Amino acid sequence: MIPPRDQAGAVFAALADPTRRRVVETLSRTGEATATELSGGIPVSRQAVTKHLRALADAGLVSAHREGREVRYRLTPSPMRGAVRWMATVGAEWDERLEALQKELRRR
Amino acid sequence: MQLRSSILDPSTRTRNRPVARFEGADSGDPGGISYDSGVPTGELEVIRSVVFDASPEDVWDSLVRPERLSRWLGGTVEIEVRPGGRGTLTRADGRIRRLRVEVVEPPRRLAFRWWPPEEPGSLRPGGATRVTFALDSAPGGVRLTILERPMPGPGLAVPGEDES
Repeated sequence: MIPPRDQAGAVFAALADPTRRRVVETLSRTGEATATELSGGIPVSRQAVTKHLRALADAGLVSAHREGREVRYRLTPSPMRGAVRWMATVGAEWDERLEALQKELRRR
Repeated sequence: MQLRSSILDPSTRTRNRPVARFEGADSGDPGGISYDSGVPTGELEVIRSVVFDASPEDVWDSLVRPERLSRWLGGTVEIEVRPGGRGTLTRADGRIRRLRVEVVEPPRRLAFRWWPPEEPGSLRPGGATRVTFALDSAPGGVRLTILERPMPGPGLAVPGEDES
């Protein structure tokens, strides 16, 4: 378990990756998902998603539970959850906008 | 950990100054974007900083012309680009975000405040956030730095969040 003093740093480090931001943003919208379901909506392999979920779990941002043969992930309740979701959601929005801006600049 | 974001402070605008860089920050892109992500603690904010292979004038133009903004900001944009100017972003789902321009300093700095789309039936709309675009020259082209920060107010608006 990461000591509280370091947790904010671990949280922000975990959110520095755009795929992890997408995972957090997706989980905040859908509530709960498997790694397979998450990789369906994000252009990375299921293996990569699982690696990212592990990093997010290490930072205390997601928790996993087993339901039958599946492992389902959700955002952990925490005092930081609102802030974390905001940063992931807004961060993901800007990631998309910047991709679109790049395309817009290449039109000329 | 207290990291103050001073990326927009004109007196300290050097390339080597760390901007909340963490392990796992992405680097490079075959399409010509250098991409840094920073999410500093201390103050809740989102920063993106990207180098575009384009002229400052072209990047500025894409930030201030409604037809161009409408192609990348995430909806149809109407905007009066002057301090105090009003605007709207109408998303594909029809929901509207209102915005108010605050700073216009061509070709370097643009800032506006905007509000999340209003939720029908919500008792407590989310608060405004401030978005700042800063342009600097950089090897490879122009560096655009985007900062979005919540304003003091009713709290963060996060889709699906039903408590503060």
